[in-house]
This record gives sequence, structure tokens and C-alpha cells, in this order.
Amino acid sequence: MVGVLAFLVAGLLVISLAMNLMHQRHAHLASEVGSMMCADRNGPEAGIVATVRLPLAYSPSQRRGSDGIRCQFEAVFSPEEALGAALLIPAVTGSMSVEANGHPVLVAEQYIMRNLRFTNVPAFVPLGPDVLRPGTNRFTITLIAPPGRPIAISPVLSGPRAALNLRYQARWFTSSVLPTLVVGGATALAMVFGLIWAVRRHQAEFGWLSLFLLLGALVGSVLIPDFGLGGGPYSIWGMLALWEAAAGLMFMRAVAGLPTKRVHLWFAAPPAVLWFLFLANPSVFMPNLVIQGGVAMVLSYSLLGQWFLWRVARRGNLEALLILIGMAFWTLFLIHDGLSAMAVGGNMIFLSRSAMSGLLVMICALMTLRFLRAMAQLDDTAKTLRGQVAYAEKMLTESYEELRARREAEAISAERVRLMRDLHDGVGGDLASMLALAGEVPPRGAEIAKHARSALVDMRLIIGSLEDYGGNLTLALAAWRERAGPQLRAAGITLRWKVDRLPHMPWLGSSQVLDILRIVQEAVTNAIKHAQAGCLEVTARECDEGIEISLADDGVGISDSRTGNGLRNMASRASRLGGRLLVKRTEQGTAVRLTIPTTPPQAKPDASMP
Amino acid sequence: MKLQNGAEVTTAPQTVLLIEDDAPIRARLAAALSEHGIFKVVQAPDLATARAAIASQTPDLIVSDLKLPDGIAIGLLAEVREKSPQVEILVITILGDEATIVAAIAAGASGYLLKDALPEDIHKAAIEVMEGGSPISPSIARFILRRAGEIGSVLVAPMKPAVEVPHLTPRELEILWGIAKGLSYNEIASLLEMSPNTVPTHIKAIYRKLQVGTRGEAVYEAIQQGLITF
Repeated sequence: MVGVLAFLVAGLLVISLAMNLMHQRHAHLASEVGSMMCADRNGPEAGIVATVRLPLAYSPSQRRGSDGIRCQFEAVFSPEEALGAALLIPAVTGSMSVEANGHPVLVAEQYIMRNLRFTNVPAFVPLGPDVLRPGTNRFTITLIAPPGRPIAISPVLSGPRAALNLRYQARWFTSSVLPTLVVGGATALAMVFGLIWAVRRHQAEFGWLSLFLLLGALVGSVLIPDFGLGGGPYSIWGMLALWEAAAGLMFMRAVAGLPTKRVHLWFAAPPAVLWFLFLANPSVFMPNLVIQGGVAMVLSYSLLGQWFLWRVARRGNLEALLILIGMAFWTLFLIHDGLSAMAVGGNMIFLSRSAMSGLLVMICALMTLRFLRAMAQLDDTAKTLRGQVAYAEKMLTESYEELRARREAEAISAERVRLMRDLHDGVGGDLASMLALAGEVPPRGAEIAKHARSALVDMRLIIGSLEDYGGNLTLALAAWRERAGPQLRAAGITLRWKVDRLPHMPWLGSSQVLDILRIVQEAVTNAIKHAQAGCLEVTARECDEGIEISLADDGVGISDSRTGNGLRNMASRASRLGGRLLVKRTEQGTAVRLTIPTTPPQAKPDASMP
Repeated sequence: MKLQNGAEVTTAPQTVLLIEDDAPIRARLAAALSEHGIFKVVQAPDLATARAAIASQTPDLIVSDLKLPDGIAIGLLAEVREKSPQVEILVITILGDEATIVAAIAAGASGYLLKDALPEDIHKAAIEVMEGGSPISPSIARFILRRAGEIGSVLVAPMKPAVEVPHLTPRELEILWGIAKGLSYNEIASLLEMSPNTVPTHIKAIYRKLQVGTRGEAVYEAIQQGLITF
């Protein structure tokens, strides 16, 4: 938005410049009327009667019943020129009528925009052969001031209509169009910067700039009616220019990077005093003092601010330099207008409001610059961040790989320890026994076979436990049943299988499955060995504590002295699973009941390590 | 494993080629198989002998160890199976682990025998397979389900899929689950509300699909590389 405005204003500036250049080119065709014979409209006693040099600024004396002046001048036209001539009055304040050789040719009531003192509009008077005659022509200009207000007129141009028309249009553009655009642009920018400042309080320059532009817009604005407050010759709104200058100074200080402190409240004193003087006595003698004081204050504030800017611009602060250029440009016009206002010199053509467009362009350029810089910074930051993220990711991956490798190594090591223990517990013992039995004379074949079978069974348990059952104990038990079935059949025991749908227990790994299968297998082995049973019922179901696996036979029942190695092993395996094992004699025979929680037990020191 | 008792064939004895290098085990298996006079057992201690025996007479059933002194039996088994599809195969294994099951399926076997199985179980298994009975044990069912991603994590599958898991219908998967959980055909049938007779039909379909996807060479390779050991 700021960028668009900048381009808009820049474009308008270029157009106005071009138009001004154009009229300069034709300037030699026109001749300037530098002085006129003027008299007060209400008679010699009411005011001046003199040959005055233009530009003229005149405050009719109400006291003496004066309300305007009538001026006369002569212009010489050749017969050709008389066919298409014109008068151009580049700047005029007040109501004006023009007569050529006694014929009225123009009656213009100037709309004084919002009582603005330091603005004026051009007037263009086309002259035809009906009113002109070859040779000397006499013109009368009557200027009437609104009550209590001054009148002013710049040097008058006479010449070819075409050339003067171009110049008139350029003047009209700079005096009417451009100030209106500036007011619009300044209002919009004030809102934008005000919003920026509202969310970025630490950037005071936005706040001051917003205030500066807003006050400037109010000074030149047609948006707010006068409410009759500017009843006198000077508008109360026009006096806002003083505050505008103060805000501008603070803005320039902020751009220069100078802090705002309490002591800077003193910058508010001059405008406050002038404002007070204006309000207290906006009449007779004050105006000139207030006007002059105000112009002096505005100029000095502007120059002071530029000095602040210059100090940092010299050190390469591009922002400060841009603002400084804009401010200096504007100040030149302020000086020009100030001099005109104080009637020291100049041509009574007030241009500072139009020139503010240049300042706005600079501000827009500055903000665009800031925006671009912020974007570049953002890109840089994003790039840096991307780099950092990539680096962090790499480090993370590396450490993750490391961690994974270590975990893997640990898992393998733990698995190795477990396998060793499992082999030691089962197959190892059996093999040692087999060796011992084989060494006896004669070798005890039946017992060797028993141990061999036990070793093979255990081996299959281990192999079976290494399968991935995915936490499905039903599958593990079914796999075990596949192996235990023939054993039981060989012992003449009928297997009754009552395995219910068991809950999913993902924590059951190989080690846990092996513990469960070994407990179950041990119970089966005991039943085969000691119970002389005819039937073994295996039940597995969900219970309150988790799951319950029970094996009940209809044999002779376990003896009360529970000191067997096998039983102790079963119990220790059960506790490793965080479960409970109950082996008891029932009316029918022996019942082994294993309860396992559905959630993994807390880590406990492994009691059965070899 | 349900055995169909009383369905013994009373016609001429069927020929069983027993390929096993360990003499005592071979003798034990031979004794178990030749009981009741249903099977005429031809023994071979190595692949060369087995090849000669097959050349002279195509057996009805081959009971074979996988690793023999002069090589791995899979090639020979697959060859026989291709030439004479009616030949049934049982693989002999010590542990009945997954690697063996992969190899057995690759060899076109309908099942496996544990080396220390009871003589009567050995005999019954042989009869059952000759009758076209259940070729799928809980271990095989588990194996298929695991490969199909139904059990555990596929990532931990121990080797590259030498046996490609065929596309199975939901019903077939349900039946496999039943077998893997140790349910009998009748239990599966009542659980799935279907006729008990249709269960074997489904199972044969599953097994056919499985054998179609079997790649003997891949298993052979895996064995050579030591990925599968016996």
C-alpha cells in the first residue's frame, strides 16, 4: 500500500514537473506586469493610493470601512496578439473582477479553502478582439477581501492565450490538485504509520510520523468544517501547522536515532505559547506577531530536525539522508512561502503544501526501503534457520543412529545373555546329565533318552519362543500345543484345550513367552512324570488380575513337600513375569494356576541369572 | 492335527521314498512308516541314491531331510513335484522352526515330520497327507499370517520373502487365524458359521495359492547364503 502511494505521488510529481517545465519554455512569450496603480475601493481616505510593485499583500482596514482595492495597469498588444491574448494571474486571494477597456471580462469569487491563509489559486482571463484593441489596453482589477481577511495578488502575466493557458493549468495543478492529493496521501499514510506504531511501540518514528502527517492533513484538509472558530483572519486549523512542525522535529529526531526524553517536552512550549497567544487575542496586532513567530518557529524546528538528520546521514544512515532530502526540499518551499507571508519578498504564490508531496515521496521511499530491508532480513533469517535446522537435523539423525546402534547392541547383548541363560537352564543341564549317565557302566539308556527328549523339548520351546507372536498369547499357546500334544499322547494323557480369547499383550516378548511356556511345559512334564493322570485340562482366560492359565490333571496329586527344583524354577519365572503361581493339590489331582498381569511388571533384579 | 482314523487304504502298498542321512533316525522312521503294511519304504541316505530310486520308480510319497551329505534336497524335490505333481512330500525337521517351514513349502511339501515324533504320529501323518488331508499346521498358518502382516511387525520378518504371500480372502484369513489358535476344523466351522466340510476346501485353496507363490530357487539361495540353516 505504501509502495503504491509512493508510486502515485512520484508519478504526480513527475507530471507537475513536466508541466512546469513546459510553461517555462513558453515564458518568453508572455510579459510580466510588475507594478500597478492601486487605490482603495472606498476612496483615498480608506487606504493606499499608489503605484505598487507586485506581488501585493494588503489587509483592508475594516475600521476605515475598507474592503478591497482597485488596481489599474496597461498592456500593449499588436493587432495579431489582440486576436488571441489572455491575462494570467498566477496567485490571487480574495474575490476578483477584471475589466478590459471598460468591459467586464472576469468575475471570480474565490473559494478560500478552509480559511487557509497560505494558499491561493490562479486566475485566467481570456481576451478576445471584442474587448481588445491593437495598441495600449487598459485593465482594471478589483480585489475584494472577505471581511477581516487580507487580499493578495501576484505579478500579472499578459500574453498569447495558448502559452498562458498551459501555464495556468500547471499552476492550477500545483495549487489545487496537488495539495488535495497530498492531504489524501498524508491521511492514508498517517493511518498506516499509526497502525504500525500501535503494534510496534518501540519504533517511535512511526508514531511521530503519523502525528506529523495527520496534523499536516488537518491543516490542509477540507474534511473538517471550520465551526466558525476561525472567525478572524486566521484559521484555528491553520495554527495546527505549529504542532505539525513540532511533531516533524520529533520524527526527525527519532529517525536520527535520538531518544525521546521528558526534557523534550520543551519542544512543545513554543507552539503552545503561540497557540495561546492566537487563542487569547486573534485580532488586531497579534496576527503579525503570531504569524511571524509561527513561521520562524516552523523554519527553525525544521532546520533543527534537519541538523539532527544531517549528523547521522553523514555517517551513512541512508534513511536519515532520504528524510533529510525530503525535508530540505520542503523547507525551501517553506522559506519561500514564509518570505511571501512576511512580505519580505517572493511572489505570493504559496507552494509548501504542494511541495509536501516531495516529502511524502521520500517517506514512501524510506518505508519501501525499510520493507525491502526487512524482507531481505527475513530471507536471511529463513536461510540461516534452514541451515540451522538442517544442521540440527543432521546432528539429530547422527545421534539417533548412534542411539539406535547402541540400543541394538544392547538388545543383542541382552538377547545373548538370555539365550545363554535359557540354554544353561534347560539344554545344558540335560546334556551334562546325559554325559554323566553315558559314562556309567553300563550306560543308563532309558535315562539318557529321557534327558535327550527333555533337551529337545526345551530346545523347541526356545525356538518357539523366538517367534514373533505379536503379543498374542493364544498363538503362543497353540504353538506349544502343537508340540506338547504328541508328548501327552505318548504318555496316554488326553489333552483338553480350553483357551479363550485372550487380551492382546504387546509386552510379551520372546523372554516372557519362554517363561510362560516353560512354566506350562514344566507342569506338563510333572503331570507326565508323577501324576499318573489320564486327562490334562489346559484353561486360559481373562481374569480380574489379567490372564489366568491353569493346568489341572486328574492324577495322584502333588505331594505336600514342595521342594522340587522344577517348582522353584516355575515360581521364579512367574515372579519375573510379575505374576503369581499357585500349585496345589485338588480333589481330582494337581492344579497349577499361573496369573499374569496384562501390563508389564516393574523391572526387578533377575534372580535366576546363572 | 486331526487324524482320520479308519480310512486306511487296503489296496496295494504305496511307495515311500525316505531320504535321511542319519542311519538310526532313518531306521526309526522307516520302521514307523512300514508299520501296518500300508507303505513300502525305499530308503536313501543321500541325494544320488534318491535320484536313482526315483528314476527307477516314482514314489507316491517322499519323506525327506533337507540337508544331505551331497547337497540340499529342495532342487530334487521341486523337480519331482514338477514332473509328477501327484507325488506328496513331507519334510523331516528337528525343531519345526520357521526356517524349516519356509524350506518345506519351497520344496512343495505338504507338511513336516519331527525327527523324534512318535511312530504312530509319523504313520498317521503319512496317511493323512496321502489322503489329501490337512497340509496346514498352526506353525504354517502363523507363518502365512505373519508374512501377510497379520501378526507382529512385518519389519522383523527374518528374511526376504522367499515365499511370497498370496492374496488371501478375508474368509481364508479367518480360517488361518483359527488354525493358528489351535482350533479344530469343527470349531473353526462353528465359529465362522460354515459347514465343516468347506473348511478343508478353503485350506487347500490357501495352500495352493501359497505353493504357486513359492520360489524354490530363492530358498535354495537363502540356504546357500546361510540365511536358512538346518
